[in-house]
Amino acid sequence: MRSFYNIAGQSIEVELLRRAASQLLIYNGEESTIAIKALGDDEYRVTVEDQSTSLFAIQQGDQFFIHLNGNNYQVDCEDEMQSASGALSDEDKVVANAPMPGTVVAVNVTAGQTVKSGESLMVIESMKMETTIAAWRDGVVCKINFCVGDSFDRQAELIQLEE
Amino acid sequence: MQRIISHINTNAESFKENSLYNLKLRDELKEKIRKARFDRPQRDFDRLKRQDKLFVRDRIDLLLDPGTPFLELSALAANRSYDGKSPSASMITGIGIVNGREVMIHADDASVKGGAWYPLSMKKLVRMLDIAIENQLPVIHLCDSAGGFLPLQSQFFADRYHGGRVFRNMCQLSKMGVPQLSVVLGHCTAGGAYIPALSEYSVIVRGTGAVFLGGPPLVKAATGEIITADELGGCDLHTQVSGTADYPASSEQEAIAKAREIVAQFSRIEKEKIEQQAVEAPYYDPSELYDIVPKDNKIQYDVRELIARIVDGSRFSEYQPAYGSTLICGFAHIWGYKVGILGNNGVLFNDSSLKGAHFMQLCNQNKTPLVFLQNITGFMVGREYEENGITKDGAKMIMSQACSVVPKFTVMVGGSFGAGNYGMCGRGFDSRLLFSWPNSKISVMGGEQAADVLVDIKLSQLKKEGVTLCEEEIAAIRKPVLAEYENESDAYHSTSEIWDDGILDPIDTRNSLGIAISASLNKSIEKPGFGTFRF
Repeated sequence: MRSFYNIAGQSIEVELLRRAASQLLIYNGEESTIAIKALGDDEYRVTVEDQSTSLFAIQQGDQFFIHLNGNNYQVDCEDEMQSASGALSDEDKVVANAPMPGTVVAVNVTAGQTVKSGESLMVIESMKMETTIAAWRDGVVCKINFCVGDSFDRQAELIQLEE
Repeated sequence: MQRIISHINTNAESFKENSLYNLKLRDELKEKIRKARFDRPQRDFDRLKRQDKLFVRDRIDLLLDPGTPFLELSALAANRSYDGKSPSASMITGIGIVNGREVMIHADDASVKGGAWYPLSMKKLVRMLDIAIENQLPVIHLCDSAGGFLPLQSQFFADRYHGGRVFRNMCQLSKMGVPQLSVVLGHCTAGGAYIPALSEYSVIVRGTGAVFLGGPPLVKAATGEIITADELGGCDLHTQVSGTADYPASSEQEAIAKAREIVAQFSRIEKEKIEQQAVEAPYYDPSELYDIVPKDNKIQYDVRELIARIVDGSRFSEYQPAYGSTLICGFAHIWGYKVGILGNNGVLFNDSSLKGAHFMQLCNQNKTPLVFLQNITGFMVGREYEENGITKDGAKMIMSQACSVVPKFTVMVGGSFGAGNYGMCGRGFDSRLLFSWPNSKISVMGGEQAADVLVDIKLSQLKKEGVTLCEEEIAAIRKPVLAEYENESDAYHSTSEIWDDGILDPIDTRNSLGIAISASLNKSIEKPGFGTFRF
C-alpha cells in the first residue's frame, strides 16, 4: 500500500508491504523491516530493523499525533487521489449557461461590477426550484443577457464575466 | 476515500436565517413527540396505578438492554386524526435491543382509551409486522388493548391491509422461522386474542392479563353466562388449563424479566455480510444541517453538503461526477457500513435518470444498500425532453430502483413531487425504512401548480356557460386549493397517515440509518434481477 503523509509541511511517500511477522517499509527507495506492537492506552512499541522504541500515538480523522522521546509530532494523512489530481478549475470559463429552461427571478449584479467567487449573480426558476447562478471565479461582470421575468432555453448564455 | 470539501459559510446571513427556521422546526417536532409520548390527563395515570399497571414507556424501558438505542417508529402517527385523541396511534413500535438481539417491538398504550385500536393503529401494526418480515426481525408484543375502536370498525376490519393482515403477517413470520413473543399485560380481546395465540412464546400476568375471544359483556349478551375476566381468560386458566399461554407471572416486572430470558434463548441469525470498515464520525458537524437546509423549499442547494454531515469521515466516492449532475450518486460508509447514496441536485433529466439507473445496478451487483436523499420536483417536462425519451429514461430509473434486491432506505429531506417520488424510492417502493425531515413536503404536484390547473379547468367550464370571473373570484378558487395542499403536503400529515416511518430531527439521520442498516442485514440479500428496460 502506498501512503502519503505530511510532516511539518513536508510531503512524504512511503510503501508498506506485509511480511510474515513484520512489515517492510520502503521510503526513498530504502527498505527496512518494521514491527508495531500495541501496548494499550495508545502506547506502541515500534521496532525498525533491530532498534526498538516506544511512542504514544492517537488518530483523529486524518491526523495522527505522536509523542516520541519527549517531542510531539503531527502527521497528516494525504489522500492519494487529492495528491495525484490537479484541482478542477473554472478559471478560463467566461459565460454561465442555463442548466435547464426557465425564467429569471432575480439579477443581483450590474454590468461592470466586480464580483468574488461564490457571489450570487442571478437566480433562475425552473420546475418549481430556484437555482442561484454564482460567480465561478473572481472577475468583472461584462454582460447580462436576461432581465427579471425573461424566459430562456437550456444552454442559453445567461451572464458573462470579463476574460 | 476522498473527503467532501464543504463550500458553505455558516456565518452568512442566509445560513443564520435557515438555522433559526430549522431549529424552530426541530423544537416543534420535539415538543409534539414529547406530548405524544407523555402528555396524558392525570386521571389516566391514576387509573393505570389503580389497576397495578405500568405506563407503556416504563414497560419498554424494562424490556430493552440498558443504554442501547431504541429507534421508535411513527411516533406521530394519527397526530392529525381523531381530534388528536390517539397519540402515536395508541401504540409504540420500534427497533430495539433485547439481550443483544435486534428485535421489533409493539406495545399497546392502555393510557389512551384502554389501548383501543383506531384505524391508523391497525395500519401501524401491519406496517410494524411488514418491517419484521422484510428484515427478519423477531417481534415482542406487549399486549394491553381493549381491541378495535368499535365506532370506526368499518375502517379497520375487512380490507386487505386491515385487521386480518396483522394475523396473516404473524403467520408468515412464523413460517419464515422468525419467533414472536407476546407478553399479556392487559386484555387481549377478540382479534387481539390471536396475537398471543399466534406467537411462539407468551407470558401472562396474573390478575391483570386476560385473553379471550369475547369479553365478559359479550359472553353475557350472547349466552347469559355471568363470569369475571380472570375466570374467563386469566393467567391460571390459560397457563394451567387451556395451554393458550406459556408462562405465568405474578407482576409486570416478572413478566418482562421472563420475556428477556425467553429472547436470550432465540438463536442468533447470521447476518448478511456487506462491506464494512472501522467507524469514523463525520468530519463536518451534523448540526450544520440546520444552517444548510433552506428556509424556502424552492431554493436549490448542494446535496453533497448533506451527505458530508451524514456519512463516516464526510468521505464520498462520487460516481460519474461530471455526468447527469442533477442526481448525485456515490459510495460512502454510515456507521462503517458501505452504502450507495443517491441525492437530488435538481430536476431529473435524461442523463441523471440513466446515471441513477446504472448506479443502482452497480449497488445490486456488489451488495451495497441504497440510501435515497429525496428532494425532487420531478422529471423534466417539455418537448425537447420528451423527444429525447425522458419518460422511458425515467422508467428505466424506476425499474432499476423497484427491482433492487439490496436494502433501500429513504429520507425525505425536502420536496417530493410527482414521479420524482417514484424514481427516488417513495413509500410505494418498499424502502426498509422511510423517514421524513420536518421541513419536507410531499404531493403529486406543487400546490401553486395544482391551483393553476384547477383554475384553468374551472374557467374553461364557465366559459362554455358564458360566465367570466373577476380577479377576486379566481383568487377565491385558488385560496382553498392552496390551503388544502399546504396542509396535506406537510410532513406532519404524511407521518399522521403513516406514509413514512417517522419524522427525524435531521441530526439524528446518521444514527437512525445506522440502526436501520444494521437491522436490515438480519435478512440475506438475494441474487440481483431486473425486469425489462425500455431502451
